[in-house]
Amino acid sequence: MADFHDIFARALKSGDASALAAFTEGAPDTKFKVYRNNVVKGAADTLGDAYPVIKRLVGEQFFQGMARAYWAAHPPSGRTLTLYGEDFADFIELFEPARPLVYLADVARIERAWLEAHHAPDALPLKLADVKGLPPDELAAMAPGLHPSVRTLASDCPAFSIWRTNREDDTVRKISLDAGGEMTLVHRPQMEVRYRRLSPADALFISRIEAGQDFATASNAVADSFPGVEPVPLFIALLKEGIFRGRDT
Amino acid sequence: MVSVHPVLAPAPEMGAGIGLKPQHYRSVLESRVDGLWAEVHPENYMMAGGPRLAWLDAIRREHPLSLHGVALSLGGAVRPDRDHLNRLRALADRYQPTLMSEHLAWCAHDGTYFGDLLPTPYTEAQLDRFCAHIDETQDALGRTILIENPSIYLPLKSEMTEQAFLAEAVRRTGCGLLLDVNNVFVTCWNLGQDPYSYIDGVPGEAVGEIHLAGHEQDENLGDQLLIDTHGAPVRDDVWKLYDYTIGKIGPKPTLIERDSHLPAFDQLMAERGRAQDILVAANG
Repeated sequence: MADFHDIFARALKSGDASALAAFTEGAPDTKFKVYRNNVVKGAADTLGDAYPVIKRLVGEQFFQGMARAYWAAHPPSGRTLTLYGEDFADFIELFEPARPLVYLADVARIERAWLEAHHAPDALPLKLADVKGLPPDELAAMAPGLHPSVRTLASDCPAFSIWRTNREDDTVRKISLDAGGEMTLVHRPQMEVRYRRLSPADALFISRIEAGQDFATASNAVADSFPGVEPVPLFIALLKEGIFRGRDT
Repeated sequence: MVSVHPVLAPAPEMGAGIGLKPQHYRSVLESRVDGLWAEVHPENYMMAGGPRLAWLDAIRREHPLSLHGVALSLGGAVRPDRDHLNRLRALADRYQPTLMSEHLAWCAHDGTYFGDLLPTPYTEAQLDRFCAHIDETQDALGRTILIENPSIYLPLKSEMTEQAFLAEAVRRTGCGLLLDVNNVFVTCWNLGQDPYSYIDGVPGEAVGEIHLAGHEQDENLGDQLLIDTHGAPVRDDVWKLYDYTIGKIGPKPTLIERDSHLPAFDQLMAERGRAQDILVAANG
């Protein structure tokens, strides 16, 4: 009987049902295809729901082909498809037919970050009120780390602008690849996912907090690397956005 | 060994329910119609946090809930996945569902999750294994589960009928049944059997829930092969079979399942209302 499951599973992966004939009443071919189609289409549709911008950029037919190729290389292993597609962006980067779309993998990384932030653990972010009365020394020495939903991404392309217009606009804005690289912040301080383009100074500050450094050290790093940037307003803006982990979580 | 678990909770507050979709969260939360309940696949709520879990918390406070699993692979070659059982248990503890159910099917093998309800041969060897998997699940969850009959597309060589296989699982494990009337119709159509005789062979006292859904013809084989797509309204033939079923086994909590081509909430509720009316009439 273990044989039956082995043979059926192998047929699902290869699409060749001939070895199943020993277990079926009548030839398995056309009817077996219903199961195989459910399996492959189910995975591809799950990816389509998780990567709507990629689907919009390449079109339904191309997306189906790419998703099915991904399924063949990376079938799901966990018992839920909610976070299926962990390696999809890396796969897209090496997917030969998508090579001319140099921004595609980085846009996929942003979609993945959105999905992960959406399903991330619930936690209270650090709020302005939490730090308001603190003595300056105490505030400077705080190293709260990041809220668990925070994801930051860097791209050599204007990946954020491409993603955003394809996500938000019925008629997409034209974006020149000459616009250069962009950094992206995705996070979910409460129940709604938020996102914006990050400045290099923002990104540096966030990366230092993520590494466990305190606010003073992160601020000094910003001041050293970006002489034109005032660290304090930058810090307050990030604090108000709910980027840092709250004290009681 | 037959495990002893709490008997199926009678669910008088559960009339006709609907499969809960994120598009309808707010409408379901705010609805106050009699007998309404909601069902979800627990696998869609196994994330760390976020809005889905929060919506389900809120809806659970207003309506009875059923957790209808799709990924335990009870008809599989090996024992249920322990991690998955633990996650199911955690969800059951959090949401206190009135009903929990799974399938006579398998969906995972040798490290791959196929995400579909795959058929099992109805043999003695497979029955032994299936019952052991149900026992293990009911022990891990500390409660009785319902087992749903699948839609069959590919007939497998078997030693007994599906009804006999399920009835024996009920007898050995104390599990209940989730009778999917659309699946009965689809399977019997595809295998050339009589769906009314199928219903006659079901141990009615074990049925704790009924499913209704729409099916469609296979795009290649036409009406030679019906597919349980959950993508269309319940067909008239299935409503007729449902009427017959309720007449035969009495009113049972009934769910309208719809997974694709999702209609507007009012439209879905109109379909659900038809089932509710039949249940109310049967209650006299």
